[in-house]
Formats: sequence, structure tokens, C-alpha cells
Amino acid sequence: MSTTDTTTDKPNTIEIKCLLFAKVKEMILGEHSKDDSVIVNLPANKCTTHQLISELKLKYPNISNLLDVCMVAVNLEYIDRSNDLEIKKRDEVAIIPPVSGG
Amino acid sequence: MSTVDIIFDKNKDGIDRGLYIEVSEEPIDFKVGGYNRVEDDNAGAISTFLGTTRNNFKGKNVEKLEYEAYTPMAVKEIAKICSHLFTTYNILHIAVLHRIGTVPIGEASILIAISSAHRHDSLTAVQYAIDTIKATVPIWKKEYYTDGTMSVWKDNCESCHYTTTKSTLNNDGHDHQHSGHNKH
Repeated sequence: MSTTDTTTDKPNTIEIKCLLFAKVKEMILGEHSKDDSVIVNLPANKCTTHQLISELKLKYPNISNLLDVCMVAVNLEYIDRSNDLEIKKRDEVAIIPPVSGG
Repeated sequence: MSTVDIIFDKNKDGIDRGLYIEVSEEPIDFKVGGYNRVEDDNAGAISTFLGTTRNNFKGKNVEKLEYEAYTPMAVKEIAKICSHLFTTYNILHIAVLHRIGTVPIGEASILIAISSAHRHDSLTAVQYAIDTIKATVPIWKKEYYTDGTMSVWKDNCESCHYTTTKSTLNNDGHDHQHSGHNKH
């Protein structure tokens, strides 16, 4: 039996589950994926929305420009992206690409 | 399906004002889903907006549209808009229904129905509602074309999106940029 628990945070990092939608989801997970989120490891001393976007850009450089125009929602509320808001482990974090409802 | 079905408040004449919000894959029934929910003997007007899927975009034939929602947040954002309508306009009842999933051509993707004693309030409220819903509510549509060209995720030109330039922050904390042109 493996003793490795992949869900345990690495030292000094916090795992943040990030919900994805529409084009961002498709670009990261593929068109036919049933998943709707990615896990991002953020440094425990800088577990913030700015850091989250930076990590996503590093991991997925092909959508760097798209991430620039996305909103970020924490616990179902848009946050002002110019503020670097602290994210807590159980927060529901979502990347919101430009919307097209109606 | 996610719904809100509440009495929002009483207006100054003591009439209960109802709010109904639905985000679901169900086809929209104009009468049962919207009209019946807002009709009231105190109303002199029922104003509605029905958004339907168009069969073309820039000369290409559209086969169907697929809508995706961040449903709990979409309902919450629609509720915020309705709350603003109730406090701003002299209206009676509101029903907002947004269909998600596959919406075939010619069918409705959104219905807004608002009743009021006098027409001006509900007409203005409906216009504000659809404009704001298109800009801020986390719902997305993807267009599929009959010629087999790649399907495209759309974005509303008035959409709530982040930009580092020319942006203004409204009091909801939304970052809006109005580009002033219409892609539709």
C-alpha cells in the first residue's frame, strides 16, 4: 500500500480547487472532459487571487491572454481583480471568462 | 434546476411582490413560466423580454446553441439585479427564467416578465434587467455552425470582464468596460 496521500498539501503550499467554465475549461481540460476544476498549489505565505492567476498562467501559457480578461469569483461573489485577495482553503474559487448569457 | 421562488417584500400599498428565478435545462413556457407568475389584478402592464436563438451569425448558419452556467452564482447575480429593480422601480412581480444546455434554433433562452401598475416602470425595468443580465451573470453560450466550422464560445460585448485599461468599477465591485459597439 502506498503511504502517499496525493491530497495532502505539499510543505508550505495550499491546494486550491479552482472551478473552470466555458472557454477556459475547454482550453485547460479539453472539449469533452467531464471535469470542471483544477487543483492549483499556492504558497502558504501567498495564497492569493493574484498568485492564483500567476500560477494558472505559468501552467497554461496558451491561455495567458484569456486569463487577463477573466473575472475571479470567490464564494459566489466577483472580486475586484486589482485587489490581491487572500484565499482560504475552503473558499470556492472560480475563473469567470467574459460572459455571454441571455 | 435551480430556482428562487419568494415573496420579496410588500410594496407601499401592502401588496406582496413575488420574485421567481429559474436556471434550468427545461424549455421556457412563456405563459406558465412567466406570464402566470407575474399577472396581478393590481397590474396595468406586464412587460416581457423573450430572447430566442438566431439561425445565423455573420453569414454563417447556426445549428444550435449550448449554454453553460455557474448556476449557484448565476441565480445569485440575477437575484441581485432583481433586488435592484424592486428598490428602483414601482413594479409588482418579477419572473426571470434562463435555459441552459442545448437550445435549438428559434427557441427561447431567456424570459423576463415584470408586472407593474403603470407601463413605464415595467418597460424600463425589463430593459435594465436584460442589459445587466447579459453583462454580469455567469452564463456562457457556444455557437455550433451547420458548415462544420469550429464552434465558438461567444462573449457579450457588454460583458463583465477584467481589463487593466479604460475600466471603471461600479459599486457592486464589478469591472465593466463598455466598448460601445455591437457584435450581434
